Amino acid sequence: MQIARVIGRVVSTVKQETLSAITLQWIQPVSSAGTAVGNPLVAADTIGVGPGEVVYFITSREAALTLEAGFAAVDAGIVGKVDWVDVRGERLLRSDGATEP
Amino acid sequence: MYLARVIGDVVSTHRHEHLGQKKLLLVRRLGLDDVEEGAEVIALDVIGVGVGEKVLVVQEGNAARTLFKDPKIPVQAVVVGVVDRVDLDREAGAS
Repeated sequence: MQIARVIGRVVSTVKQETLSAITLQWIQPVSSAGTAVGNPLVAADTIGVGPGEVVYFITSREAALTLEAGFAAVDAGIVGKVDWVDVRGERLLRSDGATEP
Repeated sequence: MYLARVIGDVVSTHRHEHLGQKKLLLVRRLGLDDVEEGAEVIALDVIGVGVGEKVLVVQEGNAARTLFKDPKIPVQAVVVGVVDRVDLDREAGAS
């Protein structure tokens, strides 16, 4: 799993049937310091997250495990929200979006 | 499996139900000379390790699901050992 920030919600009306009723979020993977790492991606959301929130997600085959149905055409899924991350004694990535020096 | 350094803890209250209350660690893969490389990865802990320790991480969903005896747990990376020592053969590592 990796940390990401929610940067938007993806709205798609015409989509493959296993994707119906699945909320899709656009997320940007970030480091614990809050800086972007790699490219944004679209992830299934069963947690209920909103823009700006810090979350963690899982990719590949395990992404479908975040969903109720056994199979869906997803390759990334949000697993939870990050309250904060403690890295070597520093409290980073608090859920209000602030990072402490 | 790969060698990694535990660099932090991730605290998360609102999480997927199949994750339970399991502890989340932030780890980074180690290269030669213990250099941290690649992206930070969130791994579950089955042995009880602390920040700063060098650990063994398995990153494969089937292994993780077997470890936790839950076919629906959404996990790939699990910390499965603490590394006491690695005897590196520098010539073999360079070739």
